[in-house]
Amino acid sequence: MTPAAVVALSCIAIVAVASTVIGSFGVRFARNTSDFLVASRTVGPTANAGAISGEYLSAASFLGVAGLILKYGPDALWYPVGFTAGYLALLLFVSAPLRRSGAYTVPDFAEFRLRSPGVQRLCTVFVIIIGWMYLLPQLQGAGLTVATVVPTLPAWSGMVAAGVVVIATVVFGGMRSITFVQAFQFWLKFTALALPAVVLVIYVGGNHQPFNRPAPPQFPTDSSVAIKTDVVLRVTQPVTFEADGVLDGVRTDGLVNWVPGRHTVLSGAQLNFTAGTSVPIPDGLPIRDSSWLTPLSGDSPYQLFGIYSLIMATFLGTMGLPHVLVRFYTNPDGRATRRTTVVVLAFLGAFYLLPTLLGALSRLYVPQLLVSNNTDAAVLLLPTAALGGGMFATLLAGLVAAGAWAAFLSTSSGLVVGVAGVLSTSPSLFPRGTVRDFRVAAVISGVVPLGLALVAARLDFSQTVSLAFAVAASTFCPLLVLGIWWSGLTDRGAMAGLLVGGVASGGAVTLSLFGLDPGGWVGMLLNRPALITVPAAFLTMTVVSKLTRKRLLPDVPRLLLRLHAPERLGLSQDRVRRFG
Amino acid sequence: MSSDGRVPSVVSDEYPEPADPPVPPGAARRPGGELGPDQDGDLVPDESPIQLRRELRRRVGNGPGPADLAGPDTTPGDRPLSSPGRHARRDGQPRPPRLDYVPRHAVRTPGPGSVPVSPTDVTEVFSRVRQDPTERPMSARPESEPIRLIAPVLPLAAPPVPSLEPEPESVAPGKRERVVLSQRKGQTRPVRTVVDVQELTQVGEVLSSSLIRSQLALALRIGGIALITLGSLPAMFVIFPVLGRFELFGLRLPWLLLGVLAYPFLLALGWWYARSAERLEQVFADHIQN
Repeated sequence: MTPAAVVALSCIAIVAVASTVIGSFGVRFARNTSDFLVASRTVGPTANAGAISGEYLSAASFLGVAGLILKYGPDALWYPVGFTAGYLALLLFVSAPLRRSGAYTVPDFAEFRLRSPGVQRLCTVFVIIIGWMYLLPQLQGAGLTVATVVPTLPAWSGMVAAGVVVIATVVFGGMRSITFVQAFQFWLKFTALALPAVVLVIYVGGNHQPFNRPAPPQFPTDSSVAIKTDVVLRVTQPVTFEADGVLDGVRTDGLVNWVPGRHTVLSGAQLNFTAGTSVPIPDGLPIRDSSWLTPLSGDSPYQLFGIYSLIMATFLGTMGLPHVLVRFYTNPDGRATRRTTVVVLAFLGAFYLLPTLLGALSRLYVPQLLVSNNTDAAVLLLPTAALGGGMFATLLAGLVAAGAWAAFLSTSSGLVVGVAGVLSTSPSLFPRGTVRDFRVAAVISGVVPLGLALVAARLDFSQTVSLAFAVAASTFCPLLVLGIWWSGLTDRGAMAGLLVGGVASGGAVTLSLFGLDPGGWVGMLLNRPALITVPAAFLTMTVVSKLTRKRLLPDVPRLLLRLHAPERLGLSQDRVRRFG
Repeated sequence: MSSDGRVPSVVSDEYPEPADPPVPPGAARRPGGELGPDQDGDLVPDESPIQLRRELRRRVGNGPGPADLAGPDTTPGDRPLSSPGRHARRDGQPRPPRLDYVPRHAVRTPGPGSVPVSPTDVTEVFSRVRQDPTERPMSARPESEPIRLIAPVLPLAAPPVPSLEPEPESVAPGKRERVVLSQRKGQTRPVRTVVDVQELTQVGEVLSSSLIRSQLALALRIGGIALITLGSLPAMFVIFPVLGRFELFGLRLPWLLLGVLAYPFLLALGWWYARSAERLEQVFADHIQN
């Protein structure tokens, strides 16, 4: 094991141990104050916003955004913008009323607003689906991180380690009460990207290398690329390299000379490029640096549809994510909830500048990741690639690995807690709802996605996450928005809308998760279903509610008033008594 | 004033709500204080009704009892400590807490370890709002202050208020005002509009649906600005490809807009919304309480 690997592994271990230890201390703290909800309500908006951001910034944000920018250029910027804008939609339409409803999960809200056990049960199912789908890339990210910093370890070891740590933390600790751990992890992630970003900007400022070249990127050093999945590469000028594997259908071992055009490489091949060679780019991605700099530069005729669908999914999906809503409940009242959300917008905006910058820089320093289609590793490899193998670069790489690990741990713990909380309070599954049931539920909600992570195809993290966003936007967004703002929503309408949106988006997403991509319109729809499924769900909910108007609850106006009236009027009746 | 859909404000938040934990005790907010962005210039009280009310209160002597003054958020300087007056409660005790007050968490939104709730429990808690017609409705300020404010007499059959303009005259000086004193023995006289809203009488329903509509209009307006601004970008880049090559401050326009400027833009919209929504709520609460 190299010294760099030892440093990185130690950093990862420190983060994992620290979270578990602080988590178990947090439980003792929560027990002393006898009610962790009340305890957490003494937390101000800034600390709370730190916790929300800490839980929200996952592998997709920490690793995935930079990787997609390396691949797609400005089109990928819609991911971080959407991840942030989702909080604006949450602020505008959901945050304060949801807090006033006293519900802290969507099933709770459905029960409050519609008093229908059927809708509640359906919501529970979707919380579990979304939670598991979101957990998948987190665990895969843990695997990727371990496999990147220690090339001798297999990816599954990282996944299993992360899964075990997360399940143990939740079962023995319960991260929910520990706002400060999450806030700490936000600042850890921020530092882990900010420090390399600052160092690299100073370094790059010294020897400026232009982005805008009408040519593909070049390998900055001699690079060896292992191809893990079959790929079609395109070159625009002749390339000579050493290869071992099946290239263009021919078994090759030795020097290869590629003429401009498309070339197929089967998995298992090993390609060795010398420094200065043009990088072959996978088919469908912008090839020249100058076209990579401009928006909508890909080949697909449906990319505009894809971007709008992504905007729809991320803008409207955030409000339906299970771990996001639970966090908002720790605010004392609706007004504080709004202020917290505004601070979250500031924190996320500041954070996402960093992966954007690092993603652009990785085009210069780690373009070989494009060939192996492993761009999610860009942030992890960038410090050593740009600064050389010195001690400082090694430490920076260790810091980045620790930050990435913090990203998986905090998001996964939040998700496992959210899913387990919903599972264990669902009367049909755990009729008693004891702490023991919660622990059993936590194990279930961690082990199942771990199994899935070991078998499912690995898409880019941000893409997998955006699939979860699409399902959330097609199910919970219409339910929450119509439930909060429209007095005409009935239980039947909600049920029908949830089913239409959920089955359509969930089906599409499952097909893409298992690697089905027929290409063309259908492929785009399977990958980015939100632009169709979200309006469909809204429409179904509205139309069916109008048809079943007789089922309206008699006290809907009062329910809505409780959601919107300020707390000082004393209408909400859900105040937990304050201590002191 | 109504250009942004706000209800015109005539009364300020003279007595801040008790449920406001970020404000530490002793830092009671006063009009014109510097705590938080919600203290707007145009929410500074109209002098005349406040003066009038103070005068009335002084004459009636209906100040809060000492127990109330001990509350963390009261502003002692504003209230006389003189005799509670003829109509005040004889015993001088603060009102006992409502016996039927059930914290919702006792039964709803259980934590992972709590006993599951059947829907009937919840309905029962909810229906506690008012079962007995003679029961006093919940006080507007349940934790610290008895009801003793002055309510404007609202026209009972208020016309529907589509544009959120409440009766602007209702607290104007010189108008008749109805003085509602503290609880009298054996009889209750709660603030008219609070009851209206709680009971969702015609007036109450108009008031509350106007609040919801104004909040929705605000949210839709700001959401629309965000959606149109950001949503038009991909189309613009397709229609005018030159935009994608345009450079500003050494950055390509798409990178500058999406990579940098989108975040302060979203933050500014969020901040604007939080501020305006708070103001709408404040005006609504003041309106029905005073």
